[in-house]
Amino acid sequence: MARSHGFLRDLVVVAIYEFQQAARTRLLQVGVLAYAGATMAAHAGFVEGLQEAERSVAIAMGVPATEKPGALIGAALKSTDLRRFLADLIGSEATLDRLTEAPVLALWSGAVAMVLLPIFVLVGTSTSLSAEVESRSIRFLALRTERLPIVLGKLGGQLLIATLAALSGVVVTEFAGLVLMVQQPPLALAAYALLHAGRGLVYALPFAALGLAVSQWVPRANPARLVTMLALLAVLVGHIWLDELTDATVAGRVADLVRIFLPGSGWNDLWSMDAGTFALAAARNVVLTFAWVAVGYARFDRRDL
Amino acid sequence: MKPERSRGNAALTLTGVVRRFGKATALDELSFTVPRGSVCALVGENGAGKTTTLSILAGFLQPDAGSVDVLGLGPFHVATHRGRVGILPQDAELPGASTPRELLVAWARLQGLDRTEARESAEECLRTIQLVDRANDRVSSLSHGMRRRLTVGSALVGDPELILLDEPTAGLDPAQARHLRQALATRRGRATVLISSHNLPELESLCDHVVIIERGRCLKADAMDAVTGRDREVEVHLAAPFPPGRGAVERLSLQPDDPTDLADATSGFLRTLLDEGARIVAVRRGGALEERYFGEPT
Repeated sequence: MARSHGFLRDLVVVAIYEFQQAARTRLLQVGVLAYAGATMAAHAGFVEGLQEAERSVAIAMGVPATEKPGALIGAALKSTDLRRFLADLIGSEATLDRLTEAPVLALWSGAVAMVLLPIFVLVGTSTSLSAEVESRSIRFLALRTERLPIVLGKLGGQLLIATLAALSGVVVTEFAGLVLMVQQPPLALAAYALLHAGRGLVYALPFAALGLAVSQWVPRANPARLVTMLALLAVLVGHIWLDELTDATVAGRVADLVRIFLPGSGWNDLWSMDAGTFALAAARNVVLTFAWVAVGYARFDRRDL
Repeated sequence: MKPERSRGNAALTLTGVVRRFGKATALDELSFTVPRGSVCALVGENGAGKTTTLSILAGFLQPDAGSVDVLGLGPFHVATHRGRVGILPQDAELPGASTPRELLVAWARLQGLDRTEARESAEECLRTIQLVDRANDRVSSLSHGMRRRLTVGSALVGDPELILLDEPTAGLDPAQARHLRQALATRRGRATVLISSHNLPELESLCDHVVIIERGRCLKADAMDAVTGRDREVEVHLAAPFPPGRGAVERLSLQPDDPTDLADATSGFLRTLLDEGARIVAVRRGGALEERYFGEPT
């Protein structure tokens, strides 16, 4: 029988297999539903905030407020509180001005994706290898393909699952825009929600790799979950701490250097509407993703299975 | 492109292989050779190092010292050995949510077969392990014996040159075990099969070579006929002690000086016994592997 051995081919076979396994075990469906539910809850809260902002504007303008928000968004966005909240969310007032040309709910959906997707992919990748090493089912794969396509295939499978979750977020955004708000152009809302979901996926890449790195180092599923959550906590605390050190001192420069290696950097740049700035931030995230995969692979490549 | 057949007369060569787990030494300078095309038994007590040996041969574990040669291509490496080696790992769990057909096709695909060939190989394998009627059921719904057969299938799919089986018939009913033995016997000559098992009568009937290990060292590695004495010894069982009186025995062993003369020597020996009035109930070549392994019954 003819045999063809291709790195990419094996990677795709493993990725599809990973995706199918998630679908069969219902983890995919449960995960996507949970993601969509969390997005809906976040949207409901945001819409309520918008409603409050529009009521204030309506009172100030002496016009009646609508039952659902959306009619006075332009005026509401000029209010200090909402404007500061959104500018803080994406890091720059100038970017905000460009982004709010599109439906504001789409912008919010992007922020929600950038918060939820890293957690979503971390949960998935943290056990994708450790569980198989623990049950030794990894042996069925390791006999047939090299370990790197296994690792990258697992990553690919988990990113496919995350993409499906992100798309469910887009659907929820469209639904929320049409049902909970008024005067939301459906096509523009869907298009921008899709664009911002893409930002969320790019932002989540290094988190997926971090989870996968833990999964390669820790050969049991439950400890791997625990270590991943600790790693996420360390990343959050690390960012807060490093932000404190950002100045012209040596400590500040070291902090800038360390930040490069932490998942979660580049939030502001990923919101940029400038293609060059976005591309640079995305490329940096891709490189960081491979760096974290390599950190895990240094162990996985040599470990007993 | 189909890879060229591997080279050399030995399918497996282990030389001074050492493997430790913490302070425990699982393999202690283990050395043996398995001839190409043979069906070889790997025999030893629990903890003797059989599973560790198979794991090293399949590249799941790395030896601490010594050298391993698999199919004349050096130690196992996926890039070199992919599709050439199949293994039934003793304690690897199958993914419960998949179906046998999906798993076999996916494994065959990873061995380098294209989609059509992978499907054909999977179907052939399903017939061999008698799981055609459950091929589309989830693995989690299969019985223990069926899952065992599926893991055997994982070792056979893609027609590998070397098949490593750790307790292949454990948990199978007698009919399934017999069917599997027949399926393995058909591989003789075109593949090398190494079977680790505690079922010595089964190994004796199936294998033409045997490796006995104890505490991580090789006690004996030879042809099954040589180990059991089938190539030089005949055992005769009598219906009653013979000759009557003192010194009578119920079992006689014939070991001619020239083993090539075994047929003539046996014929003459039996003729003499019959002429002297002995009543023969059984004649067997050599002794049972079990007796040779544990020693003659007292």
